[in-house]
Amino acid sequence: MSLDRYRWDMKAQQLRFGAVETARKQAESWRTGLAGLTSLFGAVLVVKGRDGFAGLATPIRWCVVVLLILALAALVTATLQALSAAHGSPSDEILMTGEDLEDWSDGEVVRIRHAMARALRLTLLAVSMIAVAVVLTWTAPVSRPDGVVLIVDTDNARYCGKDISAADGRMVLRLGDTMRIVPLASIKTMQTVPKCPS
Amino acid sequence: MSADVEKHRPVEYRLIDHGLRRDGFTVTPTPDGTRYDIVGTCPGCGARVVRQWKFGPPGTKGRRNERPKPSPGPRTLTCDCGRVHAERPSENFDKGCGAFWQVMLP
Repeated sequence: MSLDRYRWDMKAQQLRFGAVETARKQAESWRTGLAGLTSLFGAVLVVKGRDGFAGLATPIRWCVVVLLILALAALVTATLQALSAAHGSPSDEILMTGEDLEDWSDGEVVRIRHAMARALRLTLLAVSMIAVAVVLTWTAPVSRPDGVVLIVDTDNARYCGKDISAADGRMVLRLGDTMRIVPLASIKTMQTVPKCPS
Repeated sequence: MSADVEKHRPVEYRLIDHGLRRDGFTVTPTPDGTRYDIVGTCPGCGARVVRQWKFGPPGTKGRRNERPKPSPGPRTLTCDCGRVHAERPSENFDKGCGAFWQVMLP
């Protein structure tokens, strides 16, 4: 005599009469889990490193952006996998008999184990990508601005070029391929323009 | 229905596996495919057994949304005649004589 069949049949009958409670409990768990997903966005952006990465050189900047997007996607997937493993996913149905419930339970145990393994791998991958992105923002060279285009009027000349520096009483302007040093004391007016007149 | 009552035997509650019952039970799927109706006689106490097997959510899903067709084979039934049977533990979910058996799902 096998009492297993009796036990599985009783379990199926109990589930059948508690279907609504099961579905509601599952819905509550999913609601909580999905609300937690939004916090992932904040978490990824908070740990991205120094303030902003707009000043990084272009290739590095895009590399960081791609890393953060991939990390976010991996974290979202990992969270959904863990939620599915922990609370199940509503939609599937089985014939509520002991034998069908037993078969489903056997398959579900395997599915949960695989889902948790995937969630763990994805989380580790995401954390690694975020760490790489943070290190890149800390160590990558910043892009240098080209400088402001100025028209400078002095006592006896007018120059137009990009402002490279202004220190020690001198201003350095880039005029094409050459540099010009203009004493600050000789400057009468300065005007920013989009580009030098031809 | 009264004939069924007369056939019922008030046996003492005992969990007894009566094995696969190939005769005496009909398992009929409904036309819309939402359930199976099982009709027969309990091998333990002789009560008329009328049971429905429906589809339900056990709490998780597979990868398909369509309702899976259950594979044919034996399925377990437990007596749930609802009549008085001595020595039945009050905490037991089943309300029969304790007999359980299998019928073939077509």
